[in-house]
Amino acid sequence: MGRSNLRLLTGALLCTLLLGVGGCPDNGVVGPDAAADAATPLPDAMPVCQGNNDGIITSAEMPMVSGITVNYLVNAPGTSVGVQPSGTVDGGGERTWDFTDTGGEVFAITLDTIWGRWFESDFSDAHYVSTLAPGSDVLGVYRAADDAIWLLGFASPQQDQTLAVYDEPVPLIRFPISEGQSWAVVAHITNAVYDGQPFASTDTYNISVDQRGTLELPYLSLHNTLRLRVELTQSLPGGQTIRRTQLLYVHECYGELGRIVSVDNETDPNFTTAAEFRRLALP
Amino acid sequence: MKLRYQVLAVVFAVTAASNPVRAQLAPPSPGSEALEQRPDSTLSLKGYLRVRGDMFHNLDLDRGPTPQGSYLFPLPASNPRAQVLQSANMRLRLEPAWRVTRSVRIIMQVDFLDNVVLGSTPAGLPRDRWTPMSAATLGQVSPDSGTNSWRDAVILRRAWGEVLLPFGVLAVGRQGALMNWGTGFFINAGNDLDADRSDSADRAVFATSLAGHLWMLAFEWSASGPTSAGLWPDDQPFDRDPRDNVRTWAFGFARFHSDAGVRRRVRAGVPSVNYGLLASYRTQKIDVPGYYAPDGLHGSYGPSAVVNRGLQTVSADLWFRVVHRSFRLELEAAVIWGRIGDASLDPGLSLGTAVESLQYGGVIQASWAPGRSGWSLGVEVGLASGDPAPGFGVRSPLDQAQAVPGDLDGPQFRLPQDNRVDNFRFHPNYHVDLILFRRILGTVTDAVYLRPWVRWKSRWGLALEAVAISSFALQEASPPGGQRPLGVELDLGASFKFDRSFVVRLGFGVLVPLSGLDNVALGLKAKPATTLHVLMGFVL
Repeated sequence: MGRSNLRLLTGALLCTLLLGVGGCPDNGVVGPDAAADAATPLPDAMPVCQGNNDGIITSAEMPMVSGITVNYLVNAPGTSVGVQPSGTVDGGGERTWDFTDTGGEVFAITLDTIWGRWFESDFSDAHYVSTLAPGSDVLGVYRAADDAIWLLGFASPQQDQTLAVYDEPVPLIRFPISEGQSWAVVAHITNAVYDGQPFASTDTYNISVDQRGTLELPYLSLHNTLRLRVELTQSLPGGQTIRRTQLLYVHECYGELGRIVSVDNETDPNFTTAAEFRRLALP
Repeated sequence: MKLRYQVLAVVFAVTAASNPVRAQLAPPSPGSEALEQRPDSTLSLKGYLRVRGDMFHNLDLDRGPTPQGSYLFPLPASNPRAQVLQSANMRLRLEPAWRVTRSVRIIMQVDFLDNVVLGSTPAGLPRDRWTPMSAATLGQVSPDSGTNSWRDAVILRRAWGEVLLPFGVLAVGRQGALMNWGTGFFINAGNDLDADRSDSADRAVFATSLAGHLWMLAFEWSASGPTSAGLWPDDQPFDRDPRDNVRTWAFGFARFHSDAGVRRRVRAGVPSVNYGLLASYRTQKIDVPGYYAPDGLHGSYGPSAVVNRGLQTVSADLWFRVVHRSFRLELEAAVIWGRIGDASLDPGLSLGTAVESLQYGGVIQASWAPGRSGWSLGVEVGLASGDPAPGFGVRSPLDQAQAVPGDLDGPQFRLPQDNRVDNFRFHPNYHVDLILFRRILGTVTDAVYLRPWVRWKSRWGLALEAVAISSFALQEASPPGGQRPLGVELDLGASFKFDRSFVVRLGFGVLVPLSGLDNVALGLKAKPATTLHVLMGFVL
């Protein structure tokens, strides 16, 4: 299996936690009408999710709303871009990340339900699917609960093309999300198929919530945004190992505002060159 | 000295325009020999009981839904194709006034069964063992907010005190507008028998008379934010942060003749010239938006709950009226300038662009009542500035993020490309018509109208009126049809007053909608609507 294929499979492992303005009934799933309402996530409309800006994100402050598409701006696949993942810190210790760059391509992500998908029976307790990364149509499969959001595996929209199921669900997010959290998970994929080829791996996730600050978008400032660091080491048969770091910037009620993904096998924890720089595309 | 007391008496009468006490409270005329102040405490009661009925025929204009999925007017719940809605409601309003001494009064305004739809609180709502279904109800029970009604049976709207000082009148407490200012299109106390809203505010007002004019200063506690009541419910509560307060200062002066004074001048052939200016300034430094959310009253709030609101607004109103013999001309214009530094309702999110506003509106009324025939005719022109955003921006649904072409209403700003809200709204108590502005739009905004009328009034209490209202939007993008012509409405009215305390008013209106109300997306033309409005008032 080509290295580029592996890269696509391991990239963008966290679901896109979509903006919650469209509403979140008890089961967290709304119909397609929500797409029209929630596509304009400006806070001047009465928010359905009422955050308290305390820097702690509960499950109620991160509603999962299926059927909604959110647009991000990303650099073109295959390119790299200069980034400042840790932002700047002022004299008062307040950190600010600058995500105001409006260049790049539009990458649309839709959070869909798993119902009716060809692989539904392979993930018995899954709720949602979402595209993993720009340039790839592989879907991440997730389950959302009050205590966590779990990654269950991967699948392609086309039948029998890609199907990889973790032996143990991976808790990508543990609620409540707060600065200082950390956990590690090892999960195995066996007897899988990727792009029609046999596939297996042992994936080690080291996840931590390591920073808190204000994320600047073109005309919005989101205070008490949290940065999740996801360090993934994927061990393949034959001894090949791929390491990648993803930094996700999440906020109460607005979900993932942006993402910075390192190049493969980046060793500098404070890297400044990224394979992907993703930020929310505002109207 | 004599003039001063006379003017002060006028001032007091003016400030008591919403309550009945008149001659009893006139200060002593100079030269009288009052040997001692004798408290003469009396209680008077004013108010009314009103019952209103409405019939609405096709107020949705048969033009289908807007892009938001809503109709221009609610449809019958069980059959959206039906055309007629009928309803009746009532209100008992009492305004007791205690004259504690010659100079001191305490006044209240209390509403009972305020706008309760007749039959809306039957026994069996919610159902119980005695009344398992609505057909078995034995009568009505008192409204209880949250149980069988959206509002309480008794609503205390106002309570304030007035003292006539040697140099002016001081009024403090929760009160309405001190006087019916101008035409009522901007400031409207809601004292009319057919008014729905009763604007009340917590104010301290001082008014005096100087150089033949009434001068007024007011300070208003418009909003105070979280108080300590949630922390220590048994102690005296206090405002927890002065910076989140909305405060308003107002200044005004006027040359004002009461209705009786105008009539005297007319009979004497002397012109009655009245004018005035009101200006106000409102400000708020920070806001706690979570406090104003549902269930926000019970929350706890700290620095992370704050939005740097940076609100400043300035408004001014100029009014002029002249009545001479059979002619009357009245003009009023208002302008509002405003700026909100951060309009976010989420403390975790700051909007980098301020929202700004410049709104203006005005009314011109002219009438002629020749001789003693009882006939009068007149014309009114009104204008309210508009905003180029789609929808009229009268009462946007709280969960509507943006307005799109075809919407009737919606937010009038959309950051970052549109940071302005420029539509002026007439006070909703100022009724121009029976259908278009009163029922469908909610009030006059983003529009200009021409309103000629003719009236005949008999000496024995009967009055008849015919009014035509022709309306156009100022901004082409605002109406759902994307065109300026809104409609032509013809309203016929009759009123009868019996025994000075019983009033009956009948109104019948027909609205012929024009292209501004069509549904372009669905290819539907708006169709005419009619209404019948009946009011019976028992006036104390």
